Amino acid sequence: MVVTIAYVIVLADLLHNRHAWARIILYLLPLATAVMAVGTAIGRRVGWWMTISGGAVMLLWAVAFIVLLITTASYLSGVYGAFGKAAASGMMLAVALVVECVAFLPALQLKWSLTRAGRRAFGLAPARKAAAS
Amino acid sequence: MTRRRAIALAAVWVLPSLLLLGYAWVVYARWRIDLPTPLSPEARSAVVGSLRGALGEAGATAPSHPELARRLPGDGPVVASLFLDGVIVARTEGYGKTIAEATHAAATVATMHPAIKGLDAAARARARWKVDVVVGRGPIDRSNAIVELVALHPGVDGLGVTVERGADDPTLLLLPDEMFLEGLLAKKPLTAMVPDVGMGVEFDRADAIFARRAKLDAPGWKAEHRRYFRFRTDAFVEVPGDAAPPLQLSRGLPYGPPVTPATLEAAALAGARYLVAHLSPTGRYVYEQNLTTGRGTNPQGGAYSLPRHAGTTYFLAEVYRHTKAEWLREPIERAAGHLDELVEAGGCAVTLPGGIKGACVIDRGEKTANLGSTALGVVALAEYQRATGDQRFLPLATALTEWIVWMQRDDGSFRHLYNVPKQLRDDKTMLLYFSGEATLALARMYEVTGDVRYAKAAERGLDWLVGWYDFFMGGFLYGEEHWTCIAAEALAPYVKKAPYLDFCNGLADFWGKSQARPGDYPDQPDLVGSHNLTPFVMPQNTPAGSHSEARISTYLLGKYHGHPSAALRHDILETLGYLLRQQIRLDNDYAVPPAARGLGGIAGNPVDRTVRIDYVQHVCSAFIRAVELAEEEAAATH
Repeated sequence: MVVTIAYVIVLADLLHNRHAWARIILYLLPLATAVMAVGTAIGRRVGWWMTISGGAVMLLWAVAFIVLLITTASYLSGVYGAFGKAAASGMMLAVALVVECVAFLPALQLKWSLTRAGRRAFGLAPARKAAAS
Repeated sequence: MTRRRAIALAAVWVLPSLLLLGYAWVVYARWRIDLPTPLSPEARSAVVGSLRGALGEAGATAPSHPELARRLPGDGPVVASLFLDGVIVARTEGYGKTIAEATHAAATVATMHPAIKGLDAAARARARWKVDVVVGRGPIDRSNAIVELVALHPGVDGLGVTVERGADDPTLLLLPDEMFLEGLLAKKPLTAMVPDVGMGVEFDRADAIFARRAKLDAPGWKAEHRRYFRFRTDAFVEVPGDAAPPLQLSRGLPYGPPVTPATLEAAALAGARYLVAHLSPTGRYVYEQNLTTGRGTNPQGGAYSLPRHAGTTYFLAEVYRHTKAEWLREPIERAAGHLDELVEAGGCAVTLPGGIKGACVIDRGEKTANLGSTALGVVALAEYQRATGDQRFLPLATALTEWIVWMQRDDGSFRHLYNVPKQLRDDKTMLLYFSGEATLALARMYEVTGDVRYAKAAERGLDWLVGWYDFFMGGFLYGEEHWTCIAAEALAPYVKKAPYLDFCNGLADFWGKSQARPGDYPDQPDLVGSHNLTPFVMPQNTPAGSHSEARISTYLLGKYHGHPSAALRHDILETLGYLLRQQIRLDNDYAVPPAARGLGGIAGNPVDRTVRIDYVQHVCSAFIRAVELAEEEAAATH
């Protein structure tokens, strides 16, 4: 929930966007973290699925962001013949920030939720394959 | 670890990267237009020879050169534009499987073109062919406003449209240079704070041109099913009098002259001639001149900048000091005399403590005087005295300088605005450039009068300007401090301080990092030497000029301190090579009508067609001041 609140503050105050469609995309992040948090808190199968869904949305968001950056860089290189050192550095920085600020938390949460210990914490039986090994 | 697990592990780490790399390649390949090697001078001559034949008795003949047997993607076309006195009088397009066939087709059309038939022999001899061989096409994305900003490469890509009617679909082309000759490029400012720097394409206006060429009204054009595309050309233009093979063009300009002391001095003189040609009898300049339409602003009304008027006059005096070209003297006196008239008419005269007379320059109808107009006025008047030894403007310059001293605060900073009717100094407003300009004015007046008061005031100004950057990000970020370093060098005979040199070296290094080096922008070798932060926005010529002025001062400051930088000298000359190419000369003025009096002019950027007086001032001031650097470079090289 701390991450959710941090996202809301950052998006409302620092990264406020005037386009409604962009705001919807950005506010997916606090929504997903809130779903993850609530799911983890309530446990059981429904909580597990909420956690998995929230984490997956955040990971997909991060991947989509990276793909968008790569599309931009490739397009601009195609048209202009170069992307530029500053733009390339900025892009790498943006990817690093997204990995750290968006992808890191759900990656850890998903990894934990899919382990036997994680499933036990949700009150679920170990997954069949995991049990077999 | 099992083999299966090892493969899975490797796949987890490698496959995503491979997928992203493959995806990047697909996107890149979709938008890329691969270009063949440009035609050799001999092949270009053959093409132009064929077109030239179409103007004479010989009629249209197919050009003969092995390179012209090259297959043309999409059958070209070869577009031949005939320029007469800066205006296109005829344009023909020829399609063919090879360049030779397409050229022959274009030449054949030219023999039947009514506008060409109407030209007499003298006009035909004077006219110049410009040829665009369309060598590649690619898609264009106009899906949203953001993508439209970078939809095509300014000055390098042309915009084409095929009207799909089922059969005999007509294709219309706006050539890469037509895009900026028509004012379609880089007109959307990125921010309101910097209105000069723009991006994007005026697609609505491009459509209006297409509709006109298709002989349709706007609704009729919109009703057509249109498919837009980008294209690139191998472009070249005939040299006047057929004195050399046709010149290869990039963004409408051929390669410029080499950077030598002689070419730099000639370019500075050409800039001075441009400004003298644009100086009205009243002493005010034609502030802006459009090179395509030939229209200039009215010097007696409309937009005008007194600091730029004064700066431009300073440049003319600077050229006179270096060259002693006598034709410059009267225009300089006329422009400087206008400053005197404005002081008289503006009523900005103050009696300062101690009974000293002070005055400031203010334009007609204005109530607020700015520091920059007076400061650069002093710089211009002092430069006149440095150049001629004539002291006729010294009383005026002294009164103006006393006002500048009065506008200075105890900490060395300056007030920038002064309300003349209320006789109030504005203690809040800070504007760009003015503090550096005022410091330079004081340093120059110390030089011409020997009055130490001025030197001390300049020193306090420099201490404040340089000291402002004494914070944790200082040295990483700089404002437009070119006047500061010019002032530091001007004051060096009085005081040499290591912090001044450190500051200017840091600033020169900062600008050097934004200088395009060979290979930085593979599709844009014409921009080598320019100052730019990104390949997606056209570099501005004026900052390249003003940065060069300041870097020259930094180099000279280094000499005062006993260690000039050869690397900095090389960087400066590289930038001047870029700027030499940007100047309008006889070999590249094919699209400049005589009414524009454009020779020697410098436009705002490579795809801009407006010349403002300060563009010429900054760039050409760098040219004349760099003559000694070019001499040193030549001596060091040999």
